[in-house]
Amino acid sequence: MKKKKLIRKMESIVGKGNVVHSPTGLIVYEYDASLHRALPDAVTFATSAEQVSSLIKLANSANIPFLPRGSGTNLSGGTVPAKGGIVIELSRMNHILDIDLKNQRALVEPGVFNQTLQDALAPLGYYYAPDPASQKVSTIGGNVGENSGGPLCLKYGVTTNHVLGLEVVLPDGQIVQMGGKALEYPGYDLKGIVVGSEGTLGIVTKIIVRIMRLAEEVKTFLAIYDSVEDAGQTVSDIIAAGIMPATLEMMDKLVLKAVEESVHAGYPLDAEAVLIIELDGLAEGMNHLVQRIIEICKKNRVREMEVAESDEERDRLWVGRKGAFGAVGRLYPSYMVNDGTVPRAKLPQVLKKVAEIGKKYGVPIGNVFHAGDGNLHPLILFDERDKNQLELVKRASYEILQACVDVGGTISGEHGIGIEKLQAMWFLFGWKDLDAMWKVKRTFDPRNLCNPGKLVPEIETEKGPTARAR
Amino acid sequence: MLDKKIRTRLIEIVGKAGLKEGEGVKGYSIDDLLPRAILFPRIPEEVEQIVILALEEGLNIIPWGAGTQMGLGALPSHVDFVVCLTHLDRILDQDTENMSITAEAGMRLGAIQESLRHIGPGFFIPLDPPCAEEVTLGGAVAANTSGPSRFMYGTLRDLVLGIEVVIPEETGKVQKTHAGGKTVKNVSGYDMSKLYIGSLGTLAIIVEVTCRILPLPEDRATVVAGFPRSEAPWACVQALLESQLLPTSIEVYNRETTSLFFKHAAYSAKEEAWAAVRLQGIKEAVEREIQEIEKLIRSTGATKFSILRGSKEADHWKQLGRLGFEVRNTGAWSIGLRVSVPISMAQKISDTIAEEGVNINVPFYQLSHAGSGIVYAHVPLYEGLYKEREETLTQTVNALRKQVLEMGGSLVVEYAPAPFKERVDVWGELEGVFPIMKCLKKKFDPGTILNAGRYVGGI
Repeated sequence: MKKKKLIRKMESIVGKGNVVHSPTGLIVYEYDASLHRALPDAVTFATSAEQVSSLIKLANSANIPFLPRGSGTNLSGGTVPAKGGIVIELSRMNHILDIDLKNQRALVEPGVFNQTLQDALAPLGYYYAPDPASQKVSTIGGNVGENSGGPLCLKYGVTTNHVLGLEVVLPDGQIVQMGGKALEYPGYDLKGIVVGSEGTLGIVTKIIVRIMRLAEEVKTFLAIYDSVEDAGQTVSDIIAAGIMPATLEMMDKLVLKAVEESVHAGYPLDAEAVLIIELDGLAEGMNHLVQRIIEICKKNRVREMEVAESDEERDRLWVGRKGAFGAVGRLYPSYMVNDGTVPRAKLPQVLKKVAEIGKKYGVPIGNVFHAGDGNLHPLILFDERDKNQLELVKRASYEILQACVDVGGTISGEHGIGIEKLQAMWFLFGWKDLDAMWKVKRTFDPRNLCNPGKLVPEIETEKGPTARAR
Repeated sequence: MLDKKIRTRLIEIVGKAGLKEGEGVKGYSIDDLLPRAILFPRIPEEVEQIVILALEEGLNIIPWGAGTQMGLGALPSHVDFVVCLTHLDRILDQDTENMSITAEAGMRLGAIQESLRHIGPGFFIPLDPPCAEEVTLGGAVAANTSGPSRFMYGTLRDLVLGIEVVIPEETGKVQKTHAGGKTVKNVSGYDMSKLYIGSLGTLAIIVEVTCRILPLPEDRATVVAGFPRSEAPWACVQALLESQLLPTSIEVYNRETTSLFFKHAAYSAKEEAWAAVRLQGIKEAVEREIQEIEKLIRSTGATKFSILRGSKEADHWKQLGRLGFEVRNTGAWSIGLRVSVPISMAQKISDTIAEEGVNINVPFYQLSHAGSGIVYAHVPLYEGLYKEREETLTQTVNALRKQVLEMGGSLVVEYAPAPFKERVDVWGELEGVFPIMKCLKKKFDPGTILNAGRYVGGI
């Protein structure tokens, strides 16, 4: 099909003003929050599942790839059109369709910002647990695609644990339902496999999520350390003591400095690390837990502790953590963040290794991460315009991922594989494991048009393990 | 009977002691069909070898754990081998600092819990499926069974971190593969574990599972209350759900259920309906929850009220978990249903089930995970009674299913005599997504050697 004709057909589906195809217009859609870039052929703004279906059918008939896009905050290249094609923009499908308190469910369109849902629920005394740091702008649809985490996921689980139903447009254009408001449906758990599939198995157009009652009491405190190892050990000790805080977050000196300059949260600039610890639950017994945590912090040579006495103080402690990625932009023009995750007890050991890798490649690395579930976020800082540096950063990043795998961890806790970590999948899986994933991909998308070039590296199973594309 | 060549090869794989034939297969029937042999592999590699042989010879395999869920599923198209995994029973990794455990699929849940209980301050897998002691970890995963505590902790879909399975590819390419890992957060590739959980062993044979563990709670207590009217406990449930209290389990059950096996002081025959609320956590929190729940329950007209602790408390939940087992003990032709509806509709469907029971003159023994919208209904039947009521029971189950579907839920026949399974689709019809499931089955098990015919739509 000629491009002009294709554009006309897209316009007939979504309306004339809702297709972007000029070179200048498309540049805005060649990137996400990762370092990868690729231009789409066209960007379309869909407002309904039927439109998404028609666009997908059109892409099929023209034999060109298509992929969904929310806010583009993706950190691994999952939203970058690796092989060109049609971007199906979902930001206009941004309605909260139903909040059903009796059944503890909300029905939303994929373009709803995570924060918008929280803001609608909070006055009713409810919330939606997954809370990625990007929640002000990242969409629930994007969260589903990436199976996003967030600080609260330590206690409450990640997106997949809170998504109960999906409406999905399959890669052949068919609109189907998976799951629903109830908890059990017979058959394979297709919803479970679509969550976190990075838009490679279809496009999600409606989402039913679990909503929960806000906790009666929340206690937030900041623990300040003169050594990263001590802070790391505190985290391990809290978990080992059988205490399950709602969140357990850590930031190191480099990040603290950037954050403090950017948001003035009142963090100490001379500290080596801080922990943000939050407990939630019933008021009874809370003091008892707080005391135990204080003891553990003291045992690990905490320098100072600050307890939030009001909601304002709590927000102040959090604003720095949630704005951390943006804040480091003050220090260097570019950063690469990976999110290797390790068994919790290995945290101090891996943090040390990360620092060594930074020294080896001569790149500064800041750490801000979900310490409680072993989910690292080393921010490697550099200048993208310097090609030599870019190469070093990529190598350092892969070495960190390998270090995580070496201690029994994984290469991505919540940011996804996308394009960025495609080849690192070999650190973790053999060709048989990857072949099983390809069975799923080929079942849903036999023509490999739905967000191709992501998540699972291509393999040659016939030749066996020697075909590893390391 | 096995032919000589196959028997020789089987003995090469599992040893003489690992092969049962003839009289030895009794007790392993599936919907009245007896397998030709029972195999007991000792290591995952033997499972692979069995699968290779089955592929070459075109023989059908039924994976088997403790056998407690073998009533689940449609009639098998044929049965050759039962592969019993109970000899794969080792703990491979107990990492309490990471809060995870890895065990072979045939290890019994009770044994795993026992082992975890003795480490440091004590840990547990937060899972309490029916017959929680004897089920195997792999069996629980394959059937995705869960119990009352799913209200707080979720199901195996929330607890499993990683899994190792044997996929029956075409001859000579049997694939033992792993998915996931041992970290609580992991988005490296598709979340393949989800596919195997609840797949009833139709895609692959599970040989190893890694799942989350938690420290044993500081305190545990259960509030049990009896009500003269059936709607009263549901009012308590709704109030509890709207509160900020954090119970582990909220159960509602009827007089029939209590009559079956409670000779307990907490119970009497007078009350129509019962509720049990389990509380676990820090002492102070549990105490306060008990007080509030007592107030709530008394205000809704409870005529019987007790607080259980210690071994009485543990036994109470153990007994509730054996309801289905006890019903089947009463009559070999019994039928069990599992209904899942949006939470607020559980009461309505529970009432309907009770009314239907009166209409057709059979008792429904009900137990609901009320906070999760799940209702179990068991009908104890012996052969004569089943045959007499076959037609009306068929109509009742179909009518119930229709109503459940209209509520946006599902109804599964968890066990039933084989003739009933010929009359009623145990899983119910699936729309839309079924072609994908069929295609997945074809890709993972192209020779259709695993549990043929027993899953949804005859997969």
